[in-house]
Amino acid sequence: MPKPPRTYERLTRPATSVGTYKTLWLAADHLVIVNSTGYSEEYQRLQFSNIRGFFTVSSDRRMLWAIPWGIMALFSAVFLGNALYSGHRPVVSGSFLAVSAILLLWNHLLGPGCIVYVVTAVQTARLPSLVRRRKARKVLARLQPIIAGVQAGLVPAQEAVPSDIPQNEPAGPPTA
Amino acid sequence: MTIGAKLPCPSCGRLLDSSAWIDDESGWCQHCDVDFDFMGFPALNAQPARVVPKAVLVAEHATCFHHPENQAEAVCEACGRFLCAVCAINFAGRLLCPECIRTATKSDIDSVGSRVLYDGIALSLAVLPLLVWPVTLVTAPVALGSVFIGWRKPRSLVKGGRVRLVAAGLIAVAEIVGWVFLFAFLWLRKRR
Repeated sequence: MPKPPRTYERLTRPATSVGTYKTLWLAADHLVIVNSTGYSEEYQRLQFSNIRGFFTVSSDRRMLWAIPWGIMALFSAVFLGNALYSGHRPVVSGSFLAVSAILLLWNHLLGPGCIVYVVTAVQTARLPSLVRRRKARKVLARLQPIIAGVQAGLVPAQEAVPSDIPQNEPAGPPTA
Repeated sequence: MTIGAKLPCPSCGRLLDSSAWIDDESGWCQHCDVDFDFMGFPALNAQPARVVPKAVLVAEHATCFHHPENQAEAVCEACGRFLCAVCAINFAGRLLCPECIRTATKSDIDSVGSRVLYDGIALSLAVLPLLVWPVTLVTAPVALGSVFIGWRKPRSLVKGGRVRLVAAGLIAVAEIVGWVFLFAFLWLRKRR
């Protein structure tokens, strides 16, 4: 018997935070943000028809990760130099230097950091697993035609509301 | 796309006025000094759908289950109750009443809010105690119990499959068999 088609397709790998990891999944008509602890999962769905747009803001994530790996590489290099100078085989410091150099390079290759927000009529929610520009660009480029296709039938407002006029804000007190 | 609606700054939450936009795809918030890129969709400028229920005009009109003063315009696909335009909600491709949506969110695959991952619990109970191996005397049966409980429970919404449950079960069984052999060995040695 053929396997049923998968309902969800993973868009991003887990982005860890304190005690949890978050992933983004694509379904036929919505996105799902999965917040998992390993023992339970919480789901936040975003229907394509409700998505008004995506904001992308730069973040210091690449620099913040470069600091610990850089410090580790620096200390390892000092210990490695010291070991070489005193005629020992620098196995431990060499291993640490190699690992930290790989992590530093990997962090650099992942590209600059970013924060992506999805805007709906009622909320601006963060997409927690999109944290690098390159990946975010790739995912948004994939979502763009899907969402535009779903919203193709939407009727635009008769006249676009000028951006200067605040919407959904209570009227102020009458002026004399 | 013209940015018709007024959007909040993603960083500080204040509404962005027209001067914040460099073009339709990027801008800068004067309040928090943050540059942003934006990808807009037709929903941004779409006319919001307005739901206007019809009032009952003649006695023969079927009425909404929740609002007797409104005409029934739809039938709930789950419970069959008559609904007015206000109560008939298009939810995950079905027309449902608010009560059925409340029920659906607990079980339906398109609306469930959270799930317990029995495979994760069972695997942790089977593997982590190996670090302090005498503890497995207690945790291995518990892990096996979790496998049995979790076998018929709904699994992760996005990652189906029972691979982790099977792995947890095999490890737990191996631990139990190990303990049985150990006790049998000790018992036989004592008899001699």
